[in-house]
Amino acid sequence: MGKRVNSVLQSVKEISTTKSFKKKFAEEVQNKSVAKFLFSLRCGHKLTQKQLAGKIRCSQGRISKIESSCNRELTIKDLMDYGNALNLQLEVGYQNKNARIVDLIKCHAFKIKEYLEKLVGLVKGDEIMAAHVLKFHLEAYDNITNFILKNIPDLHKKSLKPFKEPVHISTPLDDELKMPQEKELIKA
Amino acid sequence: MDTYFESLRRDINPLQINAGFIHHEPIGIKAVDQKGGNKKIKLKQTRLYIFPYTEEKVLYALTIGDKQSQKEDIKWCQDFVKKIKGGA
Repeated sequence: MGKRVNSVLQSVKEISTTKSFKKKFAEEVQNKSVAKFLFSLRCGHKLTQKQLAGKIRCSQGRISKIESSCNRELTIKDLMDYGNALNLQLEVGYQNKNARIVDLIKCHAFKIKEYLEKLVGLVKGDEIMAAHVLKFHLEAYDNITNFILKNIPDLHKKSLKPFKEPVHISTPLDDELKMPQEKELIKA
Repeated sequence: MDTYFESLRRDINPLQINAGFIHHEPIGIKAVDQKGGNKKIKLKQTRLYIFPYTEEKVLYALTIGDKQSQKEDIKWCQDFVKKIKGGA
């Protein structure tokens, strides 16, 4: 059986003996990242190029061209058309290149907190609404706890020294990314 | 192939991955042709045969060939996939 690799780029790096080809291939992969994302988005919504073209009201050829385009050839309109056809809102953002996975998890945790507070804000004395929001909180608590607990037994086995010190929850890496309310909370 | 692989990584079912450059061959084998690259020059008809083995979450790159060797290539891939599935 052949060798296992984690990406096509890695396999090219290992198989190819031509330095210039390796470099060109890496550039090609990088230059098509957005088109690849749009391709996956369409497939994830179980649509063929023809079906998506019907929703956007364009030709199937245009969809094919978009999905094989380089990043510099794509327009914001292309992205918006995909969003509208798939009932998705386009959000453009930047992420700190140095952010570690733990920073991203913390950032999302703060976002969850923010959305939960927004949800609580909608209750406004309505008993039925309060019951539903409470139910959602309990479901979210159960799901999130399970995500974390699922990894712990395996990590315990792999860890030489069981971790017994108190866990300190620090804030995300990039202070600029935080919401004003979060900053106030941290100050307090 | 990279586009196909990235879609699998996003947990998309191989049956849902459709495009003009992906051809569905027997027993789950896929043939990726030369058209996906959006190149201005006309490329020679080439097919890369792959097999997404969902049970093991592995994408096998089986072989590469042209239009002339298509029949033999598919036969070879089918035998290989049967071996994989049989655990040989």
